[in-house]
Amino acid sequence: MEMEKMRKFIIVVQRNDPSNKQGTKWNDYSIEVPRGTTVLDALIKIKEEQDNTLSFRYSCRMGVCGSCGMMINGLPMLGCQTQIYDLESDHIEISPLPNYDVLRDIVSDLTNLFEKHKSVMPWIIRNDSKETDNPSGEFFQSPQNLEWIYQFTYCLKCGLCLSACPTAATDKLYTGPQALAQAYRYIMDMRDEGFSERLSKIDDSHGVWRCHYASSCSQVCPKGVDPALGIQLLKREVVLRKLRLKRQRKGAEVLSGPIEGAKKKEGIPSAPPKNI
Amino acid sequence: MKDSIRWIIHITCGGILIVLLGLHMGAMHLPDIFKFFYPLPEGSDPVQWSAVISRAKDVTTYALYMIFLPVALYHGLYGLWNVIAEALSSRKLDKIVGWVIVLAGIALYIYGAYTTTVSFINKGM
Repeated sequence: MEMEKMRKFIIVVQRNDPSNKQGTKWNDYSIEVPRGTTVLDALIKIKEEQDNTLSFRYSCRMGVCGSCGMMINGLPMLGCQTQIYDLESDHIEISPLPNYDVLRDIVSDLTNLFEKHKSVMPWIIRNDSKETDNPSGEFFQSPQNLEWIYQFTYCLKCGLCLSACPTAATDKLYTGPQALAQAYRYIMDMRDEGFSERLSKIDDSHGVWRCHYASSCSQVCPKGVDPALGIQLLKREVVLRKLRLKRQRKGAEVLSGPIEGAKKKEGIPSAPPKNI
Repeated sequence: MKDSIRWIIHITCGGILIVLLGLHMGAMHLPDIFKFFYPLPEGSDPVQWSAVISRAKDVTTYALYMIFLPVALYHGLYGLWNVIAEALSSRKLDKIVGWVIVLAGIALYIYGAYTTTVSFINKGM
C-alpha cells in the first residue's frame, strides 16, 4: 500500500483567556498531515497530541452545524469546510471571529448573533391563532414561493456574515446581515403575515438602512447564501409597502384535501397513513 | 418619523440632485451646450462676477437654487447623521445628534434662502 504523502504546516493559534488580564498571545504548532485534512482536523490533532488546553468549538465536522467559525489566514471560515492544502500556505494563522466577544482561545460568544436573529421573529406569524394553535392541515406554499426564499433557508447561524460585516464592526446595534436576511426569508414566505410585527426591528436607524452593500457577508457565507441581496430586496419590500405600492397579503390558506370524485393518475402511490 | 420615510426622501433628493447639479455644472462648464437653460450675457464667462450677478437676477436660476438648497441640505445632512449614528452606536445619542443636525439644517436653509432671495430682489448683492 502506498504511503500517504504528508506535508508540514505551522499552525499559529491566537490564545485568549478573558479571565487572565495578560491579553492575547500566539502559539505555534508544527504538524504533518495528509491531503484531505481540514483546519478543524488539524486543530483536533494539535489538541490530542500537543496541547490539550487549546479550546475551540465544533460539532458536526461537515459544514452543517456552523459551530466551528474562525478566522483562518484573515478570513472568516468554517474550520471543518476548509481544506488545509487549499490555503496555499504552510503558515496558517487562526484567531476568533471578530465582532464578537471571545469566550476562550478561538471560541467566540455568539449570543449577540442569536439575540439579533431572535429579534426579527424568525418564524411564521399568522393572524389566525385558532389555526396555528390547533392546526387542521398544512398551509399552502407554492413551489415558486419556496424557490424565491430557498437560498435563505440554508442559513446555519454560524455567524461568519456578521463577523465579516464592516457596518457591524462600527455599529454594535446594527441588526446584521444574518438577521435581516432571515427577516426577508420570513416576510416573503407566502404563509407569513408578520410584516408589520417585524417592521419595528427592520425599519430602524440601526436596521436595514444601515447596510452599505459592502457584500462581504455574501462572500464569506459557507452555504452560498447571499444576505446582502436579501437586505437589498428587504429594503425594496419595505419601501413598496410604505408607499402602498404593495399590499400586505393574506397568508396562504390551509391545504384542502383532494377534490371529491377526482380520479387519481396512474402510477402515483397512495399517501402513507397518518401517524399523528 | 420612520427610517424608511427618511431614506425614501434621501434617495428622492439624490435623484433631484443629479438633475439640478447636472444643470448647474452644465451651465457653469459647458455654456455653449446649456445656453438653452441659462443664456450668458454677450462675451462673458459663466464664472465672471457679471455673470454671477446676472444669474442672481434670473427667475429660473432663483427657482432652481431655492429647490436645490433644501434638497442638497437634506441629502447631505441625512448622510452626515447616518455616519455619526453608525459611529456612536447609541440610540440616545442618535436622537440628540439628530436634533442638532435638524436645527443646523434649518439655520443653514434660512441663511441660504435669505441670501438667494436678497440677491434676487436687489438684482444682485
